[in-house]
Formats: sequence, structure tokens, C-alpha cells
Amino acid sequence: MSESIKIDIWSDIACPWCYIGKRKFEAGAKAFAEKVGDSAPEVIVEYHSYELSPETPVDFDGNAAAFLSQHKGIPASQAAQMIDRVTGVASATGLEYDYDALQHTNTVKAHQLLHYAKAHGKQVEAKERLLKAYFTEGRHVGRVEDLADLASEIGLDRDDVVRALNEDEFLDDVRADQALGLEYGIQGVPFFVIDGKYGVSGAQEAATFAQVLDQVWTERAAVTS
Amino acid sequence: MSDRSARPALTLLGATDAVACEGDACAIPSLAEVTAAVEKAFTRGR
Repeated sequence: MSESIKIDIWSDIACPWCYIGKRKFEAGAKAFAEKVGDSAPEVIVEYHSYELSPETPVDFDGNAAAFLSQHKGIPASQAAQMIDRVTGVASATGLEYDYDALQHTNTVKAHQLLHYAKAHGKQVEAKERLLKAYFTEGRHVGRVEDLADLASEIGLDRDDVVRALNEDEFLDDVRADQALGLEYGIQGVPFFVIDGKYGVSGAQEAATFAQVLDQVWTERAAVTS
Repeated sequence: MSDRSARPALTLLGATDAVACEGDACAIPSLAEVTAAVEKAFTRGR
């Protein structure tokens, strides 16, 4: 029997439900491990790139509500309501979103940093650092120098990150992730692919993630017994 | 490069209408809708 379950997660940095979904998945995976006990498999997570708004400029002139209003074609008041709601859900999940400080930007370089971090064994740390920087600290996650600062905070070589991002060394990996997402039919994020066979869409509740992991694990045990 | 012909279709699990970001915006159903969807998923699983 395999001792691990692979979870491939498509998400964007500029996606409030992706950070919430990350926390809920982590809680669900913890609950699953506690339920299964000593025989619990290792849950291996790999993040994949998904750009919600690839046309966004690096230096977007306006706040998140203005962006949402403009791109979704809804009144600013409705966009503000949506932001209030997601901020409330985030808070209930233990995440303090600061939309007043948030700097909306293009995320393709941030995705390249995630691939750079994966190549250096630090992708999970990089994902958390980028989401936290964007949603709770008002840090810019679109410029090479700002990304390099964040990378150095998790122990990556700042100068080498600058070089890799300036050379678009990992751009092909970003595009490959996006192509694979299309193959899977992914239209929204976060999207979780479990064992390459099962898909879970959206920021589900932790209990749902725990249940899904349990279901997949039980099914695999039945097949291999 | 991935092989499209070899990739199996995914079986969707969990609540199908959970909150997610689509395109350049986020679909945000009410908390009541999310709760109902999760309860429905659990009922189906039993």
C-alpha cells in the first residue's frame, strides 16, 4: 500500500478563497490524520499556477474594490459588499485580510517564484509567505525586487531569485500548469486534485476535506487489500 | 508536456457549489448556501 496521498492544488495568489481554502484544507488534513492515527498516510501537497487576471498590470492604479467592479461589471458598492463578506469569512478562518492596504497586481512573477521555490524544496513555505504578504501585510507581490525580498525571508537566495525572475526561467512551468488545469477542466480556484483522480472545487469546509481524504484513503485500502 | 489522451476525467467530490474564484472575480454564495451544500455532500456520502 502506498503511504502517501498526493494533492495537487491549482490556485492564484490574488484569490481570497484560495487562502481560505488553504487553511480549511490544512485543518481537514489534520483532522483526517488524527482520525486515521498512526497508519495515516503522508499528505503531499504541490501547488500549481492559475492566473485569475493575467491582463492586470504589475502596477495597478486602484484598489481591489475598483478592480472587482471594473472587471466584473458590477457597481462599486456591490464589489465592496463582496469584499466585506470574504473578509468576514477569512476572519472566521483565522486570517485578517487588509483590503485597505492590499496592492492589486499581476501574479505571473509570483507564480514563477513558486516554481523556483519548488525546485529548492520550499514551495509550501513560499505559497504561505506570498498569500500572507498579499492579503494581510499589504506587500507588493508583482515586482521582482519585492518578490526577492519575500523569497529571502524563507531562506531562498535573493540574488538568484532576482536572476531567475528577470530571465523568466520558470515561465514555461507556469504555462504548463495552466495547460494541465485546462485539461482537467478547471474553471475556478482553489481546485484540488487528489491522487490524480478526484477533483474538489472551491474553499470547502475542513470537515469536507477530511471526509474526502478519508473516502479516497478507504477506497484505496479496499482496492489493495 | 502532459499527454491529454492519457489523463483520466476527474471524479468530483465534496460540495459542488463551494466558494471559488472564477475568471477575474470570485463567486461568493451566502454562508447559508455554503452550509447547505456541505450538509448535502455529507448526506450523499452516507
